[in-house]
Amino acid sequence: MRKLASIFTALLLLLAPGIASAGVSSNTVTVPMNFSVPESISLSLSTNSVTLTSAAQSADVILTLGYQVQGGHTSATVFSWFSQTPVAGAVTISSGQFSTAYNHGAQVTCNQPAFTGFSGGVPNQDCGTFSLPGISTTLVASTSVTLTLAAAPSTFQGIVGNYQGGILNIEFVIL
Amino acid sequence: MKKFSALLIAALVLFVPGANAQLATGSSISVSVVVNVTSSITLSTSGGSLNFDGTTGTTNNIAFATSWSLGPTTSIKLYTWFSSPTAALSTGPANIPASQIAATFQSPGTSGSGTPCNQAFGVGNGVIDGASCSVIDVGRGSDGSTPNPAGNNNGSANVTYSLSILNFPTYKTTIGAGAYTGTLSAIVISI
Repeated sequence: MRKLASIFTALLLLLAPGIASAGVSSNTVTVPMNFSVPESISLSLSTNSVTLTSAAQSADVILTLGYQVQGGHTSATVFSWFSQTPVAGAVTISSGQFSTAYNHGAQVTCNQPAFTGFSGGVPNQDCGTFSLPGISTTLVASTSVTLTLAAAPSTFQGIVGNYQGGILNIEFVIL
Repeated sequence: MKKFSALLIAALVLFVPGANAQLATGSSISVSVVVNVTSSITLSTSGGSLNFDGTTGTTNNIAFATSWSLGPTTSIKLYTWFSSPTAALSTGPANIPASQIAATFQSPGTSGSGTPCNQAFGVGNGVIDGASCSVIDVGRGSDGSTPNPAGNNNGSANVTYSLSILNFPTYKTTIGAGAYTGTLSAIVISI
């Protein structure tokens, strides 16, 4: 009988820690968290000066486009236009003598009408546009685009002179 | 004389029983008495929301206050966790994973920072594995003392707590813009 009791006691001792380890827990508390990341967009150029000659009738400008946006945007576009055309004395080279191309694609003459969906630009002095894909799904990006500015060959058959003061504007817009 | 004795006994029988009227049950009846002292742990928080600074990637401090009344135990720990390993903070199309966030804490007996909140402790109680920050040993006293494994444990602790986004200067340029929100949960468990 005593032996049986000692075995029973031993079993209780063995099992007791298991019962104790069931654990005790507190209530659960929650803390709200907030973090705001503002939207941003950037555009930088490899150069801000282009000189065209009869020997080099076009020049490349590397555009570095960057953005950090939230969801919901529908387009990311580079616009370019002339706000002033080159002048030598009383002679002006019209914007229609120039063209732009992006990533060596199709050339677009810089005499386009007003841009659609963009209030900038100068009608009939607008050049081509470039659409960056994936804005609806890619919220952060940095990419390079080659803009080629070219003057028509006939430009160099005109009145000799050093035509200066031309301003080509480039703007990156996300809508 | 016999007659006198009989009268005396009769008188005794008449008068004595009143003084000696004892009644008793055959045996006592026991009543079981149980006092159930329940183990308990409470936890509360103060300091409001955890708001990440857009410049530093760290939050304000909040405080956790816990107290306990326990039997023998070896462990009293505070667990904190996010609702998802892949989306501790979310702004709809963009998420910040738990592995990109770390807790900084100071309790009476321990402190820590910099460990990614993708820990898995397997303690249940709603604590999400893969989305947990460093466990905080609130049972350790400022003098290094630990819970009593052989007796009762009554105590309390306050924990100062904040969060930070790891590698923030670089990381912040890789995530979508927007208003990120999330929830940090906390519980104290004694095993």
